[in-house]
Amino acid sequence: MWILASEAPNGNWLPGDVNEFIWASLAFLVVLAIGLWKGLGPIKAALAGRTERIRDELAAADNAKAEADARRTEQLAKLGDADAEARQIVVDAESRATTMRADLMAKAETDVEATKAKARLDIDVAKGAALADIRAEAAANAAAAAEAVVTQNLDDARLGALIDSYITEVGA
Amino acid sequence: MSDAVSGYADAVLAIASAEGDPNVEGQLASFAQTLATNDALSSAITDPSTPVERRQQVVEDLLGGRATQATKAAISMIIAAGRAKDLPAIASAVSQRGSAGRGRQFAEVRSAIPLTADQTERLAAALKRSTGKDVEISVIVDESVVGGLVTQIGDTVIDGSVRNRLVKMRDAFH
Repeated sequence: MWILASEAPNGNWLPGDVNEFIWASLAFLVVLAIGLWKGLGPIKAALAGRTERIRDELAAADNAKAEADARRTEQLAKLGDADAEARQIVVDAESRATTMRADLMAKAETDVEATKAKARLDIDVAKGAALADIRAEAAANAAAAAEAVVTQNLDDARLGALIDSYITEVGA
Repeated sequence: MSDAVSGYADAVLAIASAEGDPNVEGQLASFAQTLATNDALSSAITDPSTPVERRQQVVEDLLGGRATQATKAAISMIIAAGRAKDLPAIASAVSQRGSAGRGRQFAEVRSAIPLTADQTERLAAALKRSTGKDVEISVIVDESVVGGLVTQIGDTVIDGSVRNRLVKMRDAFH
């Protein structure tokens, strides 16, 4: 248009040379006819191929989607199984932990009782030993005191009396 | 009584018999009594580090004219044989044999103080009533008895000592 507009006005509704316009139009139509005659088939074939290819690709995509859905379903099923299995494992673990805790508590109680019994025994033994020591010491002190009192009071008269008493008992 | 003590008692009696000395038994008993109550003399006689001749001289000096030659010979023999520690047991065995030879029962009596003649006679009479036999008494002064008497006749011991009562009292306390 800019090129045509640059032409000088010729008094017709078409700018430029009319003949030139006609020949150019005829040439265009000829080229168009030849293009349509020679290029329409391949273009249609190309478009049909492209359509077919797109259809195949869509079908493949549908198949892939179906496969993916199936895989997803399968995975979901597996996940469901895994979840159930996990829940069972948790339940088993809780059960095992409960049993173990009960066992440990029972063992701890047994150990505590045994320790208490041993401690009581040790205390009794220590108490007995301490009492025995005290008794022995008290007895030794009492005996020593009694012996001291006896020996201090044994003068010749008493010793003689003891001998006389012995003789009397032997002869009785 | 061990075989050794018994053998030495027989040897002492053989010496007394050979010498015709009736005093050996009594003098040996007195010496044994002195030995039992005198720690210094006991140590001097029984110390194995002191030469035998020295120990025999101590005995000779101690007894002097208070013992017969047979008694001193018997004691010297025992010391020379290294049996000084067994002298009291040998003297006791000699007394037992002497009593038996005279048809009497021998009694060894331990007392914290010496017995008077009257007490000895009464004790002999009491023991005769108890055993049915005439009894000859040998008194050993032993302060560990504390009081009362301990009499041994053969295998029988009649313990009426204060020491025994104190021991029983101590056991009762325990």
